[in-house]
Amino acid sequence: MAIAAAGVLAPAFGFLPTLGGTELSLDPFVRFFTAPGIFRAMGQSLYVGLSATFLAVILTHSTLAAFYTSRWFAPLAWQSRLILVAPHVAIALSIAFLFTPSGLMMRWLSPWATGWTSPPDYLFPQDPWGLALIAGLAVKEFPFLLGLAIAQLGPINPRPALHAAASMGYGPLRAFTLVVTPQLATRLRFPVYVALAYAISSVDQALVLGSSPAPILSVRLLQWFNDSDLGARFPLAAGALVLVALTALGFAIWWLGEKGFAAFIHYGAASGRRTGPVDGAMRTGAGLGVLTLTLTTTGLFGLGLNAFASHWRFPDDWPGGFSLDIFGGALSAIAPAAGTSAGLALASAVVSTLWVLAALEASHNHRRLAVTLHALMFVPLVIPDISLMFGLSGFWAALRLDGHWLTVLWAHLLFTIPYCWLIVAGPFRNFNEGLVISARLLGAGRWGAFFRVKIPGLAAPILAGFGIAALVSASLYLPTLLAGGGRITTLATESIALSQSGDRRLLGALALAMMVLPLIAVEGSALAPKWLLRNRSGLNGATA
Amino acid sequence: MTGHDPDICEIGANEIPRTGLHACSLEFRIDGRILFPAVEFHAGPGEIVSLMGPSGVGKSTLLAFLSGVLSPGVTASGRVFLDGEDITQRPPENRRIGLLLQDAALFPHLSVEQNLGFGLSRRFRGEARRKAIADALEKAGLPGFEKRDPGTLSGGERARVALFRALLAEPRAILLDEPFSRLDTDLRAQIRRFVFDAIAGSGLPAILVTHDAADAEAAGGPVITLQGVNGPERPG
Amino acid sequence: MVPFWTAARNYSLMGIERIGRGPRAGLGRAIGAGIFAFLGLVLLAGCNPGAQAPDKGSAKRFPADRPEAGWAEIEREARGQNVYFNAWAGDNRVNAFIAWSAVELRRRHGITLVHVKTQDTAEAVTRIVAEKSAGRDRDGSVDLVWINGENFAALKARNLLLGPFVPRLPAAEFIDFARQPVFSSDFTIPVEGYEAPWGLSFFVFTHDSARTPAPPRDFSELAKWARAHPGRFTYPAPPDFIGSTFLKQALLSLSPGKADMFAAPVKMEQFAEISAPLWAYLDALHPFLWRKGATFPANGPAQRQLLADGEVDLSMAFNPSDARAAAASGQLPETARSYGFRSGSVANAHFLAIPVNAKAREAALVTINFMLSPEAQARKSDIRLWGDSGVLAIDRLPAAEQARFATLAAKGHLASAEIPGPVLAEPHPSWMEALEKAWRIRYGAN
Repeated sequence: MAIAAAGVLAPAFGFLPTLGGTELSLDPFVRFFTAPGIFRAMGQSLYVGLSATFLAVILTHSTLAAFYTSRWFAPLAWQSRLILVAPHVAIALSIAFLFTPSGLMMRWLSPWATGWTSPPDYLFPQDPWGLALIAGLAVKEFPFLLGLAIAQLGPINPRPALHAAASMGYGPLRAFTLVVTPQLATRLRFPVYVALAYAISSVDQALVLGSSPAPILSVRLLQWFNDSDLGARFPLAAGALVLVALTALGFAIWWLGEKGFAAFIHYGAASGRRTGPVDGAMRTGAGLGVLTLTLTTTGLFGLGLNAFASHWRFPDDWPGGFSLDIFGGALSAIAPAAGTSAGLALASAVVSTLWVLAALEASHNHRRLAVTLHALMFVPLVIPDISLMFGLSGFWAALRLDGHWLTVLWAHLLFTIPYCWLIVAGPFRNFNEGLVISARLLGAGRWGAFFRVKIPGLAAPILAGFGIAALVSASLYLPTLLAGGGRITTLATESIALSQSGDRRLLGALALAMMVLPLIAVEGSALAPKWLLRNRSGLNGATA
Repeated sequence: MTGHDPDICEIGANEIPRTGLHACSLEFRIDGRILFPAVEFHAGPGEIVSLMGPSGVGKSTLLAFLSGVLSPGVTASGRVFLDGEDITQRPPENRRIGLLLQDAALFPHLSVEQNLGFGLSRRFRGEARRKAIADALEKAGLPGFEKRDPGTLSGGERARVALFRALLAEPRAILLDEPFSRLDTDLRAQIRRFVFDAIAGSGLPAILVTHDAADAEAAGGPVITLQGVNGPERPG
Repeated sequence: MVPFWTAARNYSLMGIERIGRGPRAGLGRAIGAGIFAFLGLVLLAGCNPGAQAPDKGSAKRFPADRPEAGWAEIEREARGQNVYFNAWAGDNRVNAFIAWSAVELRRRHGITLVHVKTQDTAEAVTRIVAEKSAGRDRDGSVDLVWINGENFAALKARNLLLGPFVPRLPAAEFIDFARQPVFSSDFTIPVEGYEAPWGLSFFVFTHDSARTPAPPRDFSELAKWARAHPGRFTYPAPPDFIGSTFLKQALLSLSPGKADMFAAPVKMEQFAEISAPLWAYLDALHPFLWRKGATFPANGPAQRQLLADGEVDLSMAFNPSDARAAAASGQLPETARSYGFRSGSVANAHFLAIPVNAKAREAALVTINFMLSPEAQARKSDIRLWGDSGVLAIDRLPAAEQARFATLAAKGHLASAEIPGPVLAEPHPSWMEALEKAWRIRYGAN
């Protein structure tokens, strides 16, 4: 962490000896702020990040409020899991394919409804208002937050409160909004800030959906990184710091909004109104949530269908012919990248899980270490990854570490360990210590009790943490690119490199291939505890 | 057969009392298994009917049915009438049946005042609203508790706030689901007396689910003991 | 269906409130130390492969660094090396060709060819410059780069290229230097053996003859056509090389008779005057572009997909067989055609070069030699596979090798190298840089 900080701070203040910068100065900041269009890029980053996160949070809460007690909940949860495992780029490409003028929607509506035999000329995606990028980010964050929210409903135990509210004359949607949503929001605060930091600084979706003549700040930084004029490294370092500050500003704005929203909901609850404008908003949000999930699933399906199309011309509803050539060719082309992805995902997940368990057990009963670790865990999640990675990449390059598999693993661990921690730490600490004490009283040693009682008892969250670590590893683009020096190719870097090559049939094949690996990781980690604990309803209950 | 006949409620509809909470021929099944033989009971205004029985027999299921929040896995038959109206098909929020639960179910994110405001009818505005809440706290023996965080209240205080929150919503009947089970023995009698007196004072019909005979005795009304049915129902 | 996350329901995300206090501080500190030890271990493990780099003193041992070393010696040394080939990856036909080369190189020469997929060759240039400035003189991460024009000029000017190596390649004997001056002069920069010609192309437009039977054939027709068909034309955003080439071709066509000036480095005081007709032309054209010129496709293949989707009526490529190759793969209909402007087409060659700090120099040389072999060149010229014109003088090849090309030509699968109209020579690379910069200021982010 300190290395990353030094790697950004030094060049930001003009110190980068290999490039002739030997004096501390503010010149990099001057160069940064005088770059054309930079304020627009900063504003766009902030506005896109806040809007996308706002949208994702609203969709999460309203979908949960409207469908928590409904039988439609299970299919919605399944769709959201499908989107969760789909890589960012696949989501971006499927949104692009859905809504672009020659995309799936227009194909299905034309010519019978629109009268068009050639596509209309409107600007989406890559619109200058960033709507496509906001949609892409929100679509990806929504399932992430929804999943964590569902997990949090257990400890909140909303049923008695909902029944009490119903008995006082509140309909289910309003009851959930006034009674459960604020509690849920408190527990979801941290993941929401993670999502916000991500949305402000993400690169991969912005490359596909963002406006190309007026890119957001993180994309501008990447362009500077790739500039053959190495002098661009100075404003880049300044920009990396500005992006951190921008994220902090985003946090502050969000925090204020959060306060206002909480006051509004508390006021609404205390007012005794049994109906109100919030209901309509939540109902709209829930409708939008269902629409979002359904459209994205449709988009992924449509994109995947391209992989098997020999040709598919506008305005045909379906491909004009099917062929396995493109898909087969794509599979053999990406096989090495898939192997690297799988290897990295597996290694990241194993190391992360072991590390998290060791750190948790070590910091157990040791408050100061635990608090420090806990705080440390979250730094990589809220610092923009381009800032963090730029800081580290200078260090890696200086030590000749870039381009090595282990360096990429190192970069991945920076992100997979915190996510794994996020899943495992809570259950680990809430574990019934009585069981461990009983085991020790029965003669088991400290580690014997750990391995024979605690680990099996925590199998479900540990496997979930393992799955999420693998998932995160498989989706990392920028860390892989910078740590790998372009030489380590994973499905994530491959998909971005190819996303601009145009041939949608190939992109469809790539998107399908990229979903298989995470799907295995996630389904596996969901099913494994059920299988392992098939005769242990006392533990299995925790997963139902 | 258990002697259960759903049509009996239809035929006898004219004889349903015009006041109070009336349950007719209630029967529940989970996976085809009947929980207990069909029951029928009536709670008049200010009267408390106590339901007893071993744990797991379905007391809470019965209460959930009365308040309209039965879990999807349970099939139910029978009718519920409130002041002569059939409310069996009504959604819970339109039944006006208050609920008092084991853990009080105060909303942790709202202050005591806001919790009470959640229940209080919209008829009260502005100053009247503030006064209605202050009066309720006065009656609950908790004057000046408006700004308190529910998390800082004792069990007895929570129970009293929950009771007045339910009453401020102006229900036409009230259901009590083991509301005293988490209280200490000495406090228990005191709170029980307080709650029962308040219900009697409000003139509301009430159903009390409990596994404590002392609760039922203190309630003073009819006591119905539910006995589980063993094994699935067989035809003939 | 149980979502995986429900497995972890019983926790608080910020929950550290349950942590007890205990006398285990010693153990905690030990584990804290262990964490750092672990990081150190990762660091050391990461260092290890770097340690294999040879020290500078022994550099002379390597055949690539000794001009007198024979080809056999180079091939022997190349065996077992990994070649990191930085090549633009925007076209999957090109990627497939490189993948095929990797298989053949491993089989024949024991070389592992790794395609480092770049979106812009400038990325590789940046990497080479950055590594060299950090003192990486012999173990750079780029071994081979697909290059021409301004990127070649940038590396050559800074002495960052290995060479002259072309004369050492056995396959260089058949390169058609005599008939193709562009093989010796890349964007007016003398090649001098620092890069080996790999292919030859000229700039074409592609259209669907069924949809657009009469496409524009020069710039004044294009302006009229775009006005009559608003939203049906665009070009890739510079600095993509197709987009930049479109600008260059427009500049050369709209400011004729300035060949001498274009052959020399641009002088900024002349640039405004000479480029004025181009900007006037683009200012008039842009309102009638696809998306009204508010955005542009990322590159040539992206525009080809737009043509396939019917969003535009024209795409452009640096490959006269673009239409035939795309039709063969099914991306474009059989009625797709490529053609050159009658006002002239920009023609250039593309090359392979080795950075001066490349690690696997011998294997890079062997790889280039393989890429120039008649077999690889014939495959590259096959429009069903890539369809890029080759660099060999076919008439000088041995008869057996000539037959490969004859067979392809007989079936109509050989990429044509014939340019229909006048050839527009590439201007000096500084013109391209000036155009790209001016374009960004006028039409890019502001």
